[in-house]
Amino acid sequence: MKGQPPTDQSDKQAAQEEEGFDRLVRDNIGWMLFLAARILNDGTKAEDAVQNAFSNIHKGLENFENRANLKTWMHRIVVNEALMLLRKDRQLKELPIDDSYPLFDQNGCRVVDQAVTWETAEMNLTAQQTREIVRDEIAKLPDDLRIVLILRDIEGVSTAEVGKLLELNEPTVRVRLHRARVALKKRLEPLIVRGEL
Amino acid sequence: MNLLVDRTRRRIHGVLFRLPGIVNCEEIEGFILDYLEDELPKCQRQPFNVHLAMCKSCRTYLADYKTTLTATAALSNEGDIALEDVPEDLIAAILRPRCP
Repeated sequence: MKGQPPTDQSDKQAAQEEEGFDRLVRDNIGWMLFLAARILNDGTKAEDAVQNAFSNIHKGLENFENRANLKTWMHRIVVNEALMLLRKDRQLKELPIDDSYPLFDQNGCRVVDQAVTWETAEMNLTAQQTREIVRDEIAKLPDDLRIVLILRDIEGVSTAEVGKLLELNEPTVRVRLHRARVALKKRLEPLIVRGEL
Repeated sequence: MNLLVDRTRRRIHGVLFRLPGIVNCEEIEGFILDYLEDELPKCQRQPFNVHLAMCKSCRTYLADYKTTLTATAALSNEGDIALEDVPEDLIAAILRPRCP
């Protein structure tokens, strides 16, 4: 790549392309690794996903014409690679029967939950600390809910696009999104009650 | 909330929610996503708002739901991993197949 000087026009072009790819990798690897780690909950596997993603990007770059949407295209590739690894590693867990979904009585009235309290004396958390707690609580959600929440509410991917990525129809994506938010809300209630969020 | 107060509240609401044009909390739950995305049909918007006006627990629930959304969205502004923290051997592995 940065070895012998180019001897003819095609060598020169190849060298320029490689330099361009080198720059593309260095400019984008940070956010791609971060995103893959968020999806996989695993730093080592995230590196595998990013490596596979760049391999596909390199293959597809020549024919990719819409340079304005380069980042969107790369985003989709790395998400796909991370999801493939996640599926390979373990089936996305089915919707769990948990206690996070709201309860209603026989009249359809909301049964108000008694707020859970955390055993921590720490108050007035910094913005960084609350972000870390939110991040940790998201990481604890079941995969099928967590992924939808990450893609929709953090990455800003549309419902239709999430459906395509996860091979789900839109109503299912919406149900999972709502369940994910409700489950997260329940986990964050101690912070919400204390006005820390 | 005191359990007795909650039970009394639900008993009163149980009567109110049987009135025509009034939806109950369980139905509201199914409207929340559409409501927040401004996709709630006009015919459902009014019953939704009427319910919220008379049900404190749903108002609190919705406020907490929105707080959760805001806290989640805040993560989208997180900086990515700085280049110096990316393992150099990973960058080398990505670039290696194309080295002469």
